[in-house]
Amino acid sequence: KMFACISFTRSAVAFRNCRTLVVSCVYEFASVSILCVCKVIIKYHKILMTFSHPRCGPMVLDALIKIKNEMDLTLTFRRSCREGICGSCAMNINGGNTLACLNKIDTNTSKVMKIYPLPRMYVVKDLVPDMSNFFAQYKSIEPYLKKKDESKQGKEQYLQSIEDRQKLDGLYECLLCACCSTSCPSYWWNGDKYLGPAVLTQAYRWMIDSRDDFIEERLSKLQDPFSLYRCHTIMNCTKTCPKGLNPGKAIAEIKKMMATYKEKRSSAI
Amino acid sequence: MKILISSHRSLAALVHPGNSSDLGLLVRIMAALVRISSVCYRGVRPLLFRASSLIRPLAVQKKDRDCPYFISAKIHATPSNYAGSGSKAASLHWTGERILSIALLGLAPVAYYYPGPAVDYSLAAALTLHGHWGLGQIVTDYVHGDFKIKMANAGLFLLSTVTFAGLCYFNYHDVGICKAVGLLWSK
Repeated sequence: KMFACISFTRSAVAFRNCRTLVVSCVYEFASVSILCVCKVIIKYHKILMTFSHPRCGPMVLDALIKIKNEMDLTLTFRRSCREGICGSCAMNINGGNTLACLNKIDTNTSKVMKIYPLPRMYVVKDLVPDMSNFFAQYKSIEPYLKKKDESKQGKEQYLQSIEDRQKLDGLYECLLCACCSTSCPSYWWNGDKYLGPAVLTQAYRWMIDSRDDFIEERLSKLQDPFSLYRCHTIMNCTKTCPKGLNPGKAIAEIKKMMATYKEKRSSAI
Repeated sequence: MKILISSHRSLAALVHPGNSSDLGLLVRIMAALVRISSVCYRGVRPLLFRASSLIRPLAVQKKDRDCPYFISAKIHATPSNYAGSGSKAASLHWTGERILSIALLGLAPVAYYYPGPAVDYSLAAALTLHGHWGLGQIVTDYVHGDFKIKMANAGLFLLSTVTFAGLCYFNYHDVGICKAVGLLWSK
């Protein structure tokens, strides 16, 4: 009986301060007792699992954790915050890239849910992709504030008007979960040289930051056929972003800036 | 209760990372004992604040057995050294493509209302250049490998040249593009 009670992880989290474990198992936890009947097919895991258990959290991540706890301990996936802010649990659920912790399980129990790792990424194990290339590309755009005059660094804040700060809304919230980049066909075919929507959005975020002085240099780093110009406005990125951001628009703004910025005379610093 | 705690602690000491075969079973037993002891000892409330009370006692042991390989990535960035001196070649090409598209779009009504050799040759040039640049983008997207890229671009160039030459020949020796399109609607 004690081992059976272990599985009621969620039920055990009771608001009442129970002194004995037996009582806490019996306690009903209404808000998470959603019927969870689903067949989960995980491609690289090659196991077809069916389970019908009356107590499971509402999100796909809850289901994955439940499977890992009770059925197959070797199921491997990344997860951390379970609230859609860290970006660890990005995966392909029913054909779309989202965060597993934000994706509700379909209550229609006759439907099969298909879970795959992020498309066209090298797989380390099960649902864990190799993100090295993605992070290397992010590093390459120099995602930090660069100022021409560094003498005032650390003395006081670099001030920014409200309008200038509003320009960063919709850009700074990016979790770098890679859902958008791995949904982009151009990134599938040219992922080694095309930066992808996530990285390009961050490049834009630094270009339009009023405190940054290196906008022309950031733009000229994209002057080649691949880094930016493999984007053909397919817009899968905006469609799939689990945080509701718009990478497609950010890329379009970069293209506009690329067409119109005046080249700086290279100064001898 | 105290017996339970001491037994789980001794069991923890016995778990070696090397026993991967029955590690699963040991994990479950460990997990169960940890849960029972922590809940019985402190009540249920601490569980609210502990995300993974399950893994913690084992985490330290498994940490050093991480993947022995280091996945390092090389991004094959196209060298912008040649563009480092300030060449805006890529963005100029992009701008050119858009201007040409708009020009071609504007050429259509002009061809309808003012057919003639001037529009015929402009149409020939605009169409082939638009097609050449468009197919060039397709080649860049889908063709990989130095030799294959060279071959594809050469083939494309040949195709565009032949197309333009053919259209010019058609304009000169035959009815011309505008008239030819008009003939499509004739009986």
